[in-house]
Amino acid sequence: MNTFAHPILALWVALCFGSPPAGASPNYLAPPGSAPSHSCIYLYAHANPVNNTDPSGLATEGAGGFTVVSGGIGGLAAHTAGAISRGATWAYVNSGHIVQGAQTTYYWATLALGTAGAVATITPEVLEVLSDLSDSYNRMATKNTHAFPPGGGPRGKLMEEKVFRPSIQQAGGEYLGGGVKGIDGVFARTPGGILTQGKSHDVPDGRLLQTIRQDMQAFSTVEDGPLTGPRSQSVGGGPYLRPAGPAGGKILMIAVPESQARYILSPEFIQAMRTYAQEFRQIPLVRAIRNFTGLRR
Amino acid sequence: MSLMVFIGKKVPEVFVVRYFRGPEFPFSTIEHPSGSPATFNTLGEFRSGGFGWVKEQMKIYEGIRLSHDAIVPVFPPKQAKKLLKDRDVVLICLNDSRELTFEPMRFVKYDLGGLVGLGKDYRQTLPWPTTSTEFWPCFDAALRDAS
Repeated sequence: MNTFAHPILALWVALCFGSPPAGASPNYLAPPGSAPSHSCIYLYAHANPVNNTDPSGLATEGAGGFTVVSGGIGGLAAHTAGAISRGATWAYVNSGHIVQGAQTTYYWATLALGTAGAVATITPEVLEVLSDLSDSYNRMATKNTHAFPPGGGPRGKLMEEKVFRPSIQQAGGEYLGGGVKGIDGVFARTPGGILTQGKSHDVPDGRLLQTIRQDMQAFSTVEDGPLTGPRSQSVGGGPYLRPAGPAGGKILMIAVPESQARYILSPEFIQAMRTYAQEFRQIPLVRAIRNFTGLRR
Repeated sequence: MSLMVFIGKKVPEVFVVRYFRGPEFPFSTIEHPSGSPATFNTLGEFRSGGFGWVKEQMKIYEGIRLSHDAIVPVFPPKQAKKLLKDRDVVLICLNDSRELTFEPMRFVKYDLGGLVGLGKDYRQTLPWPTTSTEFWPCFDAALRDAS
């Protein structure tokens, strides 16, 4: 249990340095000069979140240490390739944001998936797509101006068109859409493609993990048979077919109300995402969507 | 590179819808049906010339990438249900691993976007290229399961 005044700093410190000492001050970060653990590949704000900020969450590793890179997430691709070549594999399993009044803060949490199975499954191509998709999804989530209705109803299709479609297309993928079954997009970077699916949920915190796990379970079997579906009218409509066969990777995009921005930063949630990623060989990208208010709880 | 074969339950005709790979590079995994179906008057006619025709189609398709603008609707608007009803369906795919698969399909909706496979327990697979002697038993088994 941390005592940090700012949940982002709390998470960052927990990821990089482990739990704070008992009785630490609300602004505790880490002892001066202490090195982050190896599981912290990305250092928020040049490892100095008190004096620096990193509103976009874009960073890469330079020769002299970690430097913030302007100009886009592309640097992350080289960064992940370096991680792979060192025999490590990483998944950007969460990139949430918090909206507090008029101020929006972003962060990137980089977690290690240190199992042999994950290494065999998550290829550099998947990580590159993940980086690009995570970046575009983050932009769509935080800049969204469309007011999504709480509860059920037509929210799924609206979310596909307003958030998932531009996220997939901006990341260089082919958007298919056309409802909520099967897949919503494909990235033609590997044999079998990297498949992505978008889901939005307005459920209480206590049910969110179970709901996401069910999504991932269903998504894990999607390439076992041929897949047909109608393309969304926004991309020309018409039927498509994906023949049966293994995919190069799978990324599940999950949209939750902005009221759950804090919950998706919690260690419990992030740990569950890491466990599910390993179990189902797919990577969840969870975002709180601006103007998706959700049911009052 | 797929062929969706529709076999009439009440009428003898067989028609085949051709699926083309999209323009995405380097790996196109999504295919789009396009153009008029190829028709055979009876299952017997399909059986007599069908294997040669399938081989020819697979060879032609290898070099084709169809842009979205070039897709020609298979059916006239609102005719899909009428044309697809009372048909057994077998999907023939040639995948990147050079395997020919036969998958019995069923409709969840009378539309080309509303077909689902019966699953891997019903799927027949052959290495490609193959012979007609091997082809037809696999096709017939898939058709039996689709019926």
